[in-house]
Amino acid sequence: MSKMAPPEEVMKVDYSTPAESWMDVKPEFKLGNYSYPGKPDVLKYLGLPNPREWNPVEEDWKLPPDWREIVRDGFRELLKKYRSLKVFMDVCVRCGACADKCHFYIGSGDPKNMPVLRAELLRSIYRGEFTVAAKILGKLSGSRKLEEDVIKEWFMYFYQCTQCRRCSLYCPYGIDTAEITFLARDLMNRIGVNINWILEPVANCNRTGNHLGIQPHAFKDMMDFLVDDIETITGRRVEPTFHRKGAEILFITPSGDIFAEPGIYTFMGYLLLFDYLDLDVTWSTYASEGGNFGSFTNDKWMKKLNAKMYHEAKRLGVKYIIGGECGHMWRVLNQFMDTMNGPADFLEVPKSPITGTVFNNAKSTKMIHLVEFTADLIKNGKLKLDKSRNAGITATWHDSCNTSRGMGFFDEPRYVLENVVEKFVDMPAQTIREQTFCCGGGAGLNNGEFTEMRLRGGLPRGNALRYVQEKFGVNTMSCICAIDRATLPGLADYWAPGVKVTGLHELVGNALVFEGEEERTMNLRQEDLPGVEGSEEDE
Amino acid sequence: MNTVETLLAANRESIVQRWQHLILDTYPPETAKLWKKSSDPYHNPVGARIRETAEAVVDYLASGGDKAALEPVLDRLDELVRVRAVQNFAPSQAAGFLFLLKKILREGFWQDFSEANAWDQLLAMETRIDGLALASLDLYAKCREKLHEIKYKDLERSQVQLLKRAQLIVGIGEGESAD
Ligand code: SF4
Ligand code: SF4
Repeated sequence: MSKMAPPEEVMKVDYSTPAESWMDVKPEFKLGNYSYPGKPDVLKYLGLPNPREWNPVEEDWKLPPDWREIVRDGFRELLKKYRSLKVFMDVCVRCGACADKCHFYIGSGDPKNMPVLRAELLRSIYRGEFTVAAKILGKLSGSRKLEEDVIKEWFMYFYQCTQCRRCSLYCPYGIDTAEITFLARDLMNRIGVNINWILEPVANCNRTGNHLGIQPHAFKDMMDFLVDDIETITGRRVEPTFHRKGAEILFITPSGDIFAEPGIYTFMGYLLLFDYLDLDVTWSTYASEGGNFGSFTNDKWMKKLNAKMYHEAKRLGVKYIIGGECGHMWRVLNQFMDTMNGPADFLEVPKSPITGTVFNNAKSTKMIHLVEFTADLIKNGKLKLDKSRNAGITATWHDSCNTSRGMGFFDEPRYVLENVVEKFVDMPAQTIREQTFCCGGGAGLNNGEFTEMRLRGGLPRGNALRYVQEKFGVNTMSCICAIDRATLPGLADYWAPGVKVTGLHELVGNALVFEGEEERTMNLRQEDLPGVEGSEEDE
Repeated sequence: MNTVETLLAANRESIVQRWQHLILDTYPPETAKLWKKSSDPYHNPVGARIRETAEAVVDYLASGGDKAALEPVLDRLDELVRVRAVQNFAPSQAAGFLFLLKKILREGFWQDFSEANAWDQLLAMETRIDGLALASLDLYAKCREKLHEIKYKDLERSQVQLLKRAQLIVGIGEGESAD
């Protein structure tokens, strides 16, 4: 062998990772892998404990002096309250079926992003603090004591979980790591360890009605901009109403649709559809948020923000609620609403005034998703659609975790999509429907400081997208979730550059043919339609 | 084909596999173990990309490497560097995996080079590997630039209507002229 230095040495790079046990590897906080902590004012407003300035990269997290007791007592309380938690803590056999199923693990290779280890972060404390085995076997039983480093690890990894529930699909025992994350975050909230991107939206939503704190008059102004744009594009003046008592339907969508691209185009799609149907629908600035960041905080705030929508429906005296293209609003609605705030007896079972279809699936919650409403309209031949107005698009469908895995919308959105675009191709089977890969931005992780980690977690989705882009020329990914609409453009730009992201009702709005309409020359983004004079293709 | 290229071509499979394993060893041991075993491209895209890139590079180097063949190899390198650029590696670690191929050649074929007295060829080969490593560093830099571009674009997209509302941005009216 030569006397030459080996290349690793030349590069001064140590390629090998120390083969320590995961328990001994400490988390390293670096810009890009964590979210900023909750601001003291926000915590105070929400009545959450231990408001203070603190920084995860610093050694001292300024935990309350009795933080250990608080966490232990909290843990005990949650174990009693949620039998599922106790079961999840006890039954994992570490078979590893879930290990490589999490997008954050697949993208990062960090073992603590394996769902089994993520849960083990909590389980080791459960064993160490609450079981007899630990007293006899100590570390051998996989148990450990509650130390400050454990809390740091929790903060790192339970805020690197989007609660997408993909892992639970593969677990033979149905262990739901997303629920473990819910409860771990609840515990951390009790000692003031949380992130601002979740808490500030909760506070804003409670105070002004939506995540960003947009006040009613500003909300109305922004709606007017979109109404003007619709007129420019279609020649029609749509006339949405606010807080109209006695309307048949209250419509609630994520606020992102009114202020952010590309959500605004989907918002225009809603307005056009309602106008087309002459639907007796009203909007509310008080209930101007479909999202529920409370569900990323604890059950108290999830319940309160969900109740607000029903409160408004009651106040206005509507018959039922239709929700816009949102993901976790539906998770809350399907999994928790009924036991938290339901049944909504003061409302009626949703019945489409156009087709007469009764949505018995929403018998108790009295709230349906716009995608099922629209799919039903198309099925009954109530919409005249011109696919050529979405010409040039080869679309694929991103199943949002919450609407697909969480509530089973697999076929409705695809049915709508196939009726409004000329070409549609699905991504590979292991990456769609129940097995869909998360966008990486769910559960409050769609903040700016987390972009790098989110791209890492976005690899599996991006990889599947890249595949259909290269193989079938897919150039558009459609979805029904506002967090997707915020997150996927960046994901696509990185992993499959050239693919654009649209909401579903943006494409519906483009395709909708009104009676006696002016000929459309541009789409809702005000881009020239192919084949129209002045369009790029003619030049 | 010269001696070194012939060796590369003749030992393609073992070189690719060894290289793939060395690159995977730059990840934590639990992960390296798992990813060495799994060939599912959707649950192990990192492993799959490493393999595809390793194959492309070895084939390119073995083929004598004309200019036209370089483009597709750079595309493959891009697919892998793109991953490593957002995986918490230092730039040298993210882009330096090419040097591991030198290690494989030296360790595995020293005897053969010696017998054939092919040192000039080895130097030429290593220089070509160095060239690819530098190209990877360029790709790495582009990915990081992209990451920052995505950050500001995200910010812009999330504020567009609010800026309009605050009259902080005003578009040019239809048909309006500068005169
Ligand atoms: S819920 Fe999703 S993000 Fe969380 S561990 Fe499971 S797969 Fe990963
Ligand atoms: S699949 Fe279920 S039982 Fe198996 S390791 Fe994962 S959580 Fe535990």
